[in-house]
Amino acid sequence: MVMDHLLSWLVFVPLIAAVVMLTIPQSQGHLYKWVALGALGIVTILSLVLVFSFNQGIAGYGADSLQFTKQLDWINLNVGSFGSLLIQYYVGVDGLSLALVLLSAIVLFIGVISSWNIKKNVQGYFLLYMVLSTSVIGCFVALDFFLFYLFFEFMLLPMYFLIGIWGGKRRAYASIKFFIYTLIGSLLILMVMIGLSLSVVQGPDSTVHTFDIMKMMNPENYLPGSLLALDFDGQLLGLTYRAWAFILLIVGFAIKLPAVPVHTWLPDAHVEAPTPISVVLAGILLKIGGYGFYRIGYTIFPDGAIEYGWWIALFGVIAIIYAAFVAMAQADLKRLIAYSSVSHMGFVMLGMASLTVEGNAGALFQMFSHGIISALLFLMSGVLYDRTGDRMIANYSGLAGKMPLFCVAVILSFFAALGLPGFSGFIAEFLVLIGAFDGAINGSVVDTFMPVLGLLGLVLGAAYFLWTIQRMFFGKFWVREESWQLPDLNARELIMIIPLVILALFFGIFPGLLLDLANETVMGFVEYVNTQGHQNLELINAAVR
Amino acid sequence: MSMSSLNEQIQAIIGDFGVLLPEATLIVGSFILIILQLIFKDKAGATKVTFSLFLLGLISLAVSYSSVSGEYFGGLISITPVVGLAKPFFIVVTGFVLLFPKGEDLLKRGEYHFLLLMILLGAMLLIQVNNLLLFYLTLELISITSYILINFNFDRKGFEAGIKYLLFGAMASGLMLYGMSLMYGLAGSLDLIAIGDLISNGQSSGLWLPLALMLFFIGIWFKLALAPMHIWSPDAYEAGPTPVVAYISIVPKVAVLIFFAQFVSTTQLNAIDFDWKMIFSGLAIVSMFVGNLSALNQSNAKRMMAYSSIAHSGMLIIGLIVGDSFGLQAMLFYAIVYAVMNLGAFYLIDLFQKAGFEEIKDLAGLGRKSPWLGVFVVVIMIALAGLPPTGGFTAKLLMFTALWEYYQSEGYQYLIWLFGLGLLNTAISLFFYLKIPYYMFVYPSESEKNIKFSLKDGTIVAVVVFIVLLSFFKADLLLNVLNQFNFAL
Repeated sequence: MVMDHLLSWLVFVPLIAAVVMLTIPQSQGHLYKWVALGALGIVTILSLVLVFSFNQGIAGYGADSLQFTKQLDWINLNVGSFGSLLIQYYVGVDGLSLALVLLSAIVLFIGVISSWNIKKNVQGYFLLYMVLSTSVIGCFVALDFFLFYLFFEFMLLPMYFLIGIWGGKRRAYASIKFFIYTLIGSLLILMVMIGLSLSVVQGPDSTVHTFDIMKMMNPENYLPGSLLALDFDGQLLGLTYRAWAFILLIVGFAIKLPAVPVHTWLPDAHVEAPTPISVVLAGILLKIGGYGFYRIGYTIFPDGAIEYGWWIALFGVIAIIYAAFVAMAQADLKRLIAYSSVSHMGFVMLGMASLTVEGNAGALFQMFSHGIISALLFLMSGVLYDRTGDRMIANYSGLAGKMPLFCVAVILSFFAALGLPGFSGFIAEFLVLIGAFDGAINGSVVDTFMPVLGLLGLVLGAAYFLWTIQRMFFGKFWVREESWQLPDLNARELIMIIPLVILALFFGIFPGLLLDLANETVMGFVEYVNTQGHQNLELINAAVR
Repeated sequence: MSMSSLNEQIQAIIGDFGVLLPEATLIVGSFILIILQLIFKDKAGATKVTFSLFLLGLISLAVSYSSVSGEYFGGLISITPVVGLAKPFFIVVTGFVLLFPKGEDLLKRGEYHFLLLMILLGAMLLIQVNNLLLFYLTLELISITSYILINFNFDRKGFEAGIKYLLFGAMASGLMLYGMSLMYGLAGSLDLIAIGDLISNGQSSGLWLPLALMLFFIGIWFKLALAPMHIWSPDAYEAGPTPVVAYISIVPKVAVLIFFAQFVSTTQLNAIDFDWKMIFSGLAIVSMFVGNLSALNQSNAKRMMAYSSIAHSGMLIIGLIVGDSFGLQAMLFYAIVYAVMNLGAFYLIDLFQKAGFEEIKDLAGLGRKSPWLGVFVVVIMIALAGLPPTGGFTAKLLMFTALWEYYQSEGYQYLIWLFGLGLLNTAISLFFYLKIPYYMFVYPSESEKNIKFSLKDGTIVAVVVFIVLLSFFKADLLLNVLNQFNFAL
C-alpha cells in the first residue's frame, strides 16, 4: 500500500505529523521535535526507497516517462457554456525531480536537527516547519499546474512566519520583503496559469480545460484561436502571447531562484532567518525556482526556451559575476554566503539555457550539490552565531587554534563551495561550463563569451572564500569581545555536518550515481525542447507573418 | 381604455401580489417589531432577536413558495432565477449580523431591527425592479436607512460620518435623478424595456444618451463605493457600529450588482455605441489601487477594512464588465465568498472591540495567548488577500479566468491591463491583510488583556473558516449551486 501511494505518503507524512502535534499538549513540549524528527526520518527513508526503486532506464520526456504517478480528479469547475475547468491531483517523478525530492528529504531532516535548540513557541515552530515540508516536497512531485501552484504559494505563509517570529532583529522587514517579492513572482506565474488553463483542453475535441502540465506540452491540445495557441496571430506590444507567457514565467521563477536583478530579498531573508530556516531556504526553496524553469517554463514553452535562451544565459552569467563581486565586499559572513548562493544559481541558468545534455545535467547536478553545500555553509555561520551572536568577519581572527574541528569543517565546506575537484560542486560547474561551450560552438542559443565569464566567476568564488578563511581562521587569535566563549563543535553539530560533508565528497567522487538517475530524462528533455521548440517556432513565425 | 380592460388590469395586479409574499411578510413583521418596541421599550433584547430570527425564517419560507420567474405588475417587477439565490443569501447575511458579539446595546432597540429589515426589504426589491423610478425608490430606502444606522451609536464621530454619508449620498442621488430624467426625455418612459428599445434602435441621440447613462451610473458607483465615489466609506466604516458596517458592505452592494447585471441585459447596453466597459474597467483599476494603497497606512482595523472593501468592489465589477454567463457566475461566486469572509473579518473585529482593542497595534501578542483565534484570523485574512488554499483564491481565479476568456474573444487592450494590474493588486493587498496576523504573532504583548473566546464565538468563527476553506477544496459544490440559479442571460 505504501509503494502504491509512495509519493502521496512522501508529501503528506509531514502534514500528518503536524496534526499529531496539535493533539500533544503544551506541557509535553519536548515531544514536538521528536515527532518532527520522526516524520522527516520517515520521509527520508521513503525518498531513499523511491530512489532505489526508480527505473533509470525509461527514456524520453513526457507523460510516458513518469514513474510512481497518481492521477485523480479533484475539482471540476463547471462554468456553463464555455466548458469546465478540471483540476487534478496528479503527482509523479522523473529524472528531473527525483534528485530534488531526495535533496529535500535530506535537507529538511538536517533542518530539524538544527532546530533542536529552538526555545520560543516550540509547537508553533514545528507545526509551521511540517507544513513547509509538505509544500516543498509537493512542489517537486506535482504535475498539475494548479496543484504545483497551490504548493508553491503555500510555502510562503509558513516561511513568512518562520522568519517573522523566530528571526533576528530586522525580521519584520525581511519577512515581508520575502513575502512580497515571492508573491509578485507567483502572481506572474498565476497569470500564465490562467491563460494556459483556458487554452489547453484534455484532448483535441474536448471542452474540458485542464491544468495538466503534460497535456500542455502537446500543441494539439491547444484550442485553435486561443491566445496561447501556436497559430494565434495577435500580438501584445510587439511580442506574441506565448512569448509574453514564457517571459512572465521565467521572471516569476527567477525571483524565487533568485537571479540578478530580483535577488535583493535573499540576503535580507537569510541574514534575519534562524539558522535552520536559512538552511532550508538556500538548500531547497531556491531550487524550486530552478525546477520551475525546467518543469513549467521550458516544458510548456520550448519555443520560448530557444528564442530567449540567450537572455537567460546572459542573466545567469551576470548573476555569477555580479553576485561574486558583491559577496567579496560583504562584512557579514551570512550575507557573503547568501550572495554566493546567488552566484551559484547563475550556473543553473547558464547550464539550462545552453540546451545541451551536459549543460542541463550540470544544472540539475548543481541544484543538488548546491543544496547540500549551501546547507553546510549556513550551518557553519549558525555555529558561530550560536556562540557569540555575531557574524561580522572582521570581528574574528585566528579561530583555527581555538576551534580546530570547526576550522576543518569550514575549510571543507568552503572548498566544496568554491568548486574544488573532488567535491560535487566541481562536477556540477564543470559540466555546466562544458555544456555552455558545447552549446556556443554547436548550438545557436548561447555565445562563447558566456562560459568564459562563467570561468571568471569560479576564480572570483575561490577568491572570496579563501580570503574569508584567511581573515577569520589564520593569524593570531583575536575576537572582538573578551567574553565570547568559543567551544569547538559539539556532537549535535557534528551529526549535521559530517553527513553533509560526506555527501558532498561522495557525489564529487562518484557523480555517476546521481547523473545516471537523471540521464535518460535529461536526454529526453533536451531532445524534446530542441525539436519541439523549433517546430513551434516555425508555426508561430508562419502565423504571425 | 375601456372599463373592462381596466378591471382586468386591476384583477391582474391583485393577483400578482402573491409574488410579493416575502416582502409582505417582512413589512408586517417589522411593524410587529415596532409594537414590541412600544411595549418593551429598550429591554428584552433576546426576545427581539428571537423574533427577528423567527421572522427571517418566515420570510425564507415565503421566498421558497413564491419565487416563480416571470414579469408582474405590468412589467414593473420581473423575477429572474437569480432572485431565488439572492433573497436567501440576503436573509442569511441579515441573520448573521444579528449574532454579532458586541450587539446587546443595539439589539435591545427595536428600531435597530426595524432598520436592518428595511435594508433587507430594499435589497430584496432592488433585484427585481424593472423600472428606473422603482429602482430609485428602493435604492433610497436602502440609503436613508443606512444613513441612520451608521449613526446608531449616537456619538460625535458617528454623527460626523452620518452627515458626510448623507451629503454625499444626496449628491449622488441628485445626479442619478438628473440622468434618469434625461433618459425619460429620450425614451419617453422609465421602463427598462423602453430604454432598451431606444438603445437598440440605434438612433443617434448625440451625446445625450451617454451623458444620461453616465449620470445614472454615478448613483451605482456611490453604492458600490467605487473610487472616486468612495470618500464617504472610510469614515462611515470607522464610526458606524461594526455589525451595521458588515451589513452595508455586503447586502446593498450585491443587490446593486445584480440589478446592474439585469439592467445591462434588459436594455441591451452592450449594443450601444459607447464604450462604457472601458470606463468601468478604469474605475475597477482605480478602485483597486486607491483601496489597497490607502489601506496600507491604516492603523484602525475597520478603516482598513473600508479601503479593502473599496478594492473588492473593484474586483466585483469585473464580473459586470465581462457580462456573459461565466462572468456573472464568477461574480456571484466572488460575492458569496466575499460576504462570508467579510462577515468573518468584521465578526472578529467586533470581538476585538468588545475586549477593548481599538487599533491594530493593540492586538500585539494576542496570537500567542490564544493560538486558535490567531489561526482563524490568518485564514480569513489570507482569504481576503486571495491566497490559496482559501475560497478567496478560487473566487479570484474564476474572476480572472472569466476576464481572460472575455479578452480572448473581444480583444480590447484595456482588458489585459485590467487583468495584469488587478493581479498585481493582490500583492499590494497582502501587505496590509497580513498586518493583523503579524501584530498578533510577531510583536510581543504589551498588555495583560486577553480575549474571551466563548463557545458561541468559537463556533461561528470556526464555521466561517470552514466555509472559506471548503470553497477552495470543494469549489465545485458552490459552483454547482450557482449554476442552478444562473441568470440565463
